[in-house]
Amino acid sequence: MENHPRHDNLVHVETPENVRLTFRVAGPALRLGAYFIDLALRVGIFAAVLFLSSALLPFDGLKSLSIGVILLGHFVLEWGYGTFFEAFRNGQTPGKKAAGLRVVKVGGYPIGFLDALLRNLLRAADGMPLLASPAFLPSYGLGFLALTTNSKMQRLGDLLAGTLVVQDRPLALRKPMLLPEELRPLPAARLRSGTRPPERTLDLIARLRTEHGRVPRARREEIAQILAVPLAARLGYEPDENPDGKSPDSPETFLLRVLKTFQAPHPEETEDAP
Amino acid sequence: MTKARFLAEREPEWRKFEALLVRSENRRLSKLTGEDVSDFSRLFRQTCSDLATVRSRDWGMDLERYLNNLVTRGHNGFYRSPPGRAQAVIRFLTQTFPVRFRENLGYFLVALILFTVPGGIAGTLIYQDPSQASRFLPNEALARFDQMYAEREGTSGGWQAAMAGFYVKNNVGIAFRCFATGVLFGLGTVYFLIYNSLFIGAIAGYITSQGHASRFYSFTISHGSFELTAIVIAGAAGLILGHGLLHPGPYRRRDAILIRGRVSLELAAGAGCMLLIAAVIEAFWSPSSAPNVAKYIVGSFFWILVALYLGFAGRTRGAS
Repeated sequence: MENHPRHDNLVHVETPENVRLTFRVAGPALRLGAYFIDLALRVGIFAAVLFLSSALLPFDGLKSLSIGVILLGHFVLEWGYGTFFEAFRNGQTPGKKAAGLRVVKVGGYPIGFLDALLRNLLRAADGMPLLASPAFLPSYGLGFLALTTNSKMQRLGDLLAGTLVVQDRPLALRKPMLLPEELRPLPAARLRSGTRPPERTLDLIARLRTEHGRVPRARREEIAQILAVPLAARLGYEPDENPDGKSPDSPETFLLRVLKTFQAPHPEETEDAP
Repeated sequence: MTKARFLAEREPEWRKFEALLVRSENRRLSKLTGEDVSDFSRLFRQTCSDLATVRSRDWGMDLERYLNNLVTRGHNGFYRSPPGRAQAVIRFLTQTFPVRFRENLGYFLVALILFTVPGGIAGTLIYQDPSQASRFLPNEALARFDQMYAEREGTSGGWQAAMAGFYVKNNVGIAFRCFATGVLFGLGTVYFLIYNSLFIGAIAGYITSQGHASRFYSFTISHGSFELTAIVIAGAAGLILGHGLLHPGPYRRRDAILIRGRVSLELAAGAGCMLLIAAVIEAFWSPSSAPNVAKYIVGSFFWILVALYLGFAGRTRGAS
């Protein structure tokens, strides 16, 4: 995998069990979203601390304690929020959880307390330069710069702690795609007997269909054309012949008919060679 | 085996694993039964093998993604780091931190020079010519010092808790920033050290020149032991990072800072702990109405304590 040019956001990790895990690293947009959710939460918690401790203010002896608690609360939220959640909630702050992100070690392991502490202390560097107005908020300019210069999208804190932010949303197993009732399977008589399209081709057809909205129509037709011609040749099927005298199938319809023909398991089929 | 048969056979197992994953993610591990744990291990290994099967046979991107998701979540749960123990914290404070400090004494000395020399020069200049003080400190601050130290009584009666909060927020924050910005080729660390050095030196020089020396030094001597030492240690931690970037040695820069990250973090975290102690002393003991002599004695004791701790804690017989 290492020799391929990179044009995706996947990171592959080989575990001691000899399993290759694939992680999809999170880019700046997703992480910014998570950051703002966390920021809102931090502001909310701080407001609660302010509210509760200001209840102590009228009592003369407790004034000092109230201010002390507010200052301490600010400190803990500034430096401890991310560390606490990432260390003890398995790599996820509430914002990251909502955005479907998780911090893991570069080797795919969960992060520990020191990793979480290190990557969160380094926010002081990643957050630079500070925005002078309104309130010295971090701009994360350096963090962004660092993130764009490496393939694992690590900011400085991630580089130091050896961590990655990956996309981690539980996925559901999709049901096999339902094809329209009126779609006719290809007549077996017109196919070369014993041939069947490779599994990956069937998957490709299904994906072309499920990612419908995301592939522009013209591009979809183009891909279908590229796929349909050799597939028809392989199956020995002549797309032009049409018994009903209607216009021949479009490449896309042809592909869907192939899918309909071969998606259902053939009862007589025996074990594939592994 | 066909894809359809494979799916029919394996899907119930995946569903079981999925349910177990959700349970283990949302609950403490200790709440899982022994049966759950052995199920987890078995289902995890089976799903790993299923993923490999699906990959080798090209049985579909969706299926592969689904299984990869299950396996990564399983891997994450399986290798989850053990819960932290109080023992680990104690071990860090009594052993790891002082040992790391001694291992990196050179960085500490460089940081010490950066932290003492500029302030020493500024302080001496201002002591000799107090009118220079406004070059370093705003006039309002100088007026406040005049007023604060001219008063007879202690200045923070009743405000100890608030001051403790302020010292934690401010000083630990400075130490952490001083450390973290070391990753900018050491520049941030050097800036923080020199800036704070000039600031503290100028204050000391000005107050001494105004004849308030004994009140100033009796106030600062106690917490200064932990506070000033900790700031220099945080600076040393930042310099370790900066040095790693400037002179990565046989490593790529990326690996050099990865290697040094852990060591420098241990120093910075230790410095943070020392600053928590300093904040308590600074808020409750330093401004107390105890006689100056008592403060000098206790303060000296703190300095000796810090020196002994950093110099000898965690030493094993025969080794450093």
